[in-house]
Amino acid sequence: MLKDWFAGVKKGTSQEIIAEKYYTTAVKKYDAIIAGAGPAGATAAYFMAREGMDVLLLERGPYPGAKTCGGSSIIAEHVHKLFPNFWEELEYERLISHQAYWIMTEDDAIQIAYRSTRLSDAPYNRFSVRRVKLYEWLVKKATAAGATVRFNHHVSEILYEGNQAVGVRISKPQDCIYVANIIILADGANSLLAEKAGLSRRVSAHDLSLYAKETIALPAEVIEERFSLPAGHGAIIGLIGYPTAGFNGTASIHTFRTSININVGLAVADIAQAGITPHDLIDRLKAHQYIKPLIKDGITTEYGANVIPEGGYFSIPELVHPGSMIIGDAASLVNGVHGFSLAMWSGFFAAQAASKAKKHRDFSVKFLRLYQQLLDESFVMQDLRANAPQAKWLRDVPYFFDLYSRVANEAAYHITKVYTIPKKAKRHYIFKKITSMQPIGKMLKDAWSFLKVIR
Amino acid sequence: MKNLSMDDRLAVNRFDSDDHNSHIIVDKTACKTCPHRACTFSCPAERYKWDTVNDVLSFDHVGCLECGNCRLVCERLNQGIEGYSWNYPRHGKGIIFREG
Repeated sequence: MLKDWFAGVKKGTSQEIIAEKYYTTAVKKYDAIIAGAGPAGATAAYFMAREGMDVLLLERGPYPGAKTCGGSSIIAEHVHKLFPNFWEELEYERLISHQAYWIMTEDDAIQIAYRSTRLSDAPYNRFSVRRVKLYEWLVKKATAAGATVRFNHHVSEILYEGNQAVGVRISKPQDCIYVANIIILADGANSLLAEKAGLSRRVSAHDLSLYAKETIALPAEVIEERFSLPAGHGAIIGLIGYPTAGFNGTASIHTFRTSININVGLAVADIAQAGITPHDLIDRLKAHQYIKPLIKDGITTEYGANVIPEGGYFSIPELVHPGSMIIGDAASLVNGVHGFSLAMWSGFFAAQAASKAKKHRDFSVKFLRLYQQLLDESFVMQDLRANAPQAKWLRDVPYFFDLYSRVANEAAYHITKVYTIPKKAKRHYIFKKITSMQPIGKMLKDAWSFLKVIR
Repeated sequence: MKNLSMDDRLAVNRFDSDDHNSHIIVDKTACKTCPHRACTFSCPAERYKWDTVNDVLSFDHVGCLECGNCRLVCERLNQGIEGYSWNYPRHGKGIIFREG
């Protein structure tokens, strides 16, 4: 493409040649093209279509959510702001009224759970949701608002006129071109498009985590009984320590209507060095004495893997370029607490910027920059900025999750166990036990760095 | 619950495989000079294996979960040097997740 441009410049008719080349094969010019019908892309499509823009949403899978897996839950507060009373339309799985963390070792687990009926009244807090259903619903909203959606369309590259993005090329068998004033990249964590176009730097193994998941089918009553849930309610359990076999990483259990999802994930760089496979971790976790009874007699219905950006604030690329914007996972706009919501907000903000650019008929960075401004002012960037040192910290203290879940469980064991020694001697004994695992000075240093990073 | 072998695991998934065109291309002979062979133990679908009898990499793109892990652990795939390329399958082929 660059070659064409140079050839055009030499002849002094670059615009004409490119125009001829692109526009003869193209049917029409859209206001915006979005690559990727995930939460970010579909939300952007919906809000742009609602503003009366002519939007084309391109998805490489045969239906929304076919190419992604893992998790998942949505935060009602966020989604309600974007799509009021969404719970009346979206086919969610369970209403989460039980959130827990298990700090585990081979033999023990400290289980911290919070359960409340206050979480089960409107406007709710969290719903477990299957990605396929969530994405499908968002795409339906977008098409109902007037967006055009095409499946099985894999965007292979962005087309440029000078440095202005003007269209996209679809790979074979369609092998065609679509043109638009604005190109929005929402193609996920492995954003080949942004990388190829030089809009973001090459992703590194440190910035991404690999998650493997297994979906295990169980009857609804069995799930409710095992997690002691009221009918229709669900639990989300975060698992720390044991599941990631000595590395920093997390695992989780999400309860769906008639299945549960077990996810385990750690940094790609760690997996590459460890010689341990993600599915080994899942098997190991499933065999744990406290997990085993939860999934007894279940049937595995799906196994999958996915990478998630965890580089945080410092791995966010330049988001606004002439004629194009990067949103969602492709822009590293995710974090553990808000999940999908950051992606959806980024789609919403990008839609605001796109609509402003259309009104002014100027698709340079001048008006599209509004997207960056809205993000910066929102909680999205504030949270990401506050957690900025987190990714580096996880690399600097690689033993944190493993060692301290052991320390916590060791302490809990001795506190629970009754000895025939005076209280004071017991306290001294526990202190000695713990400090034999990690010197007190180091422990304080780690605790301080932890507090600094989670503030 | 009993543990499944990788073949059994992948067998429960739905695939619409593009049998003829591999979306990932690796130069199996050149892979002999790889110092770490991280792909052979980190792929969540065990698509990369080291054939110790013939001392050569074996790779099968059918059954790939399209997670992108190999592109991150392998410098050659990451930089797309000659003989190596990583792309998504065309026309929606490959893994089709149903459960989320």
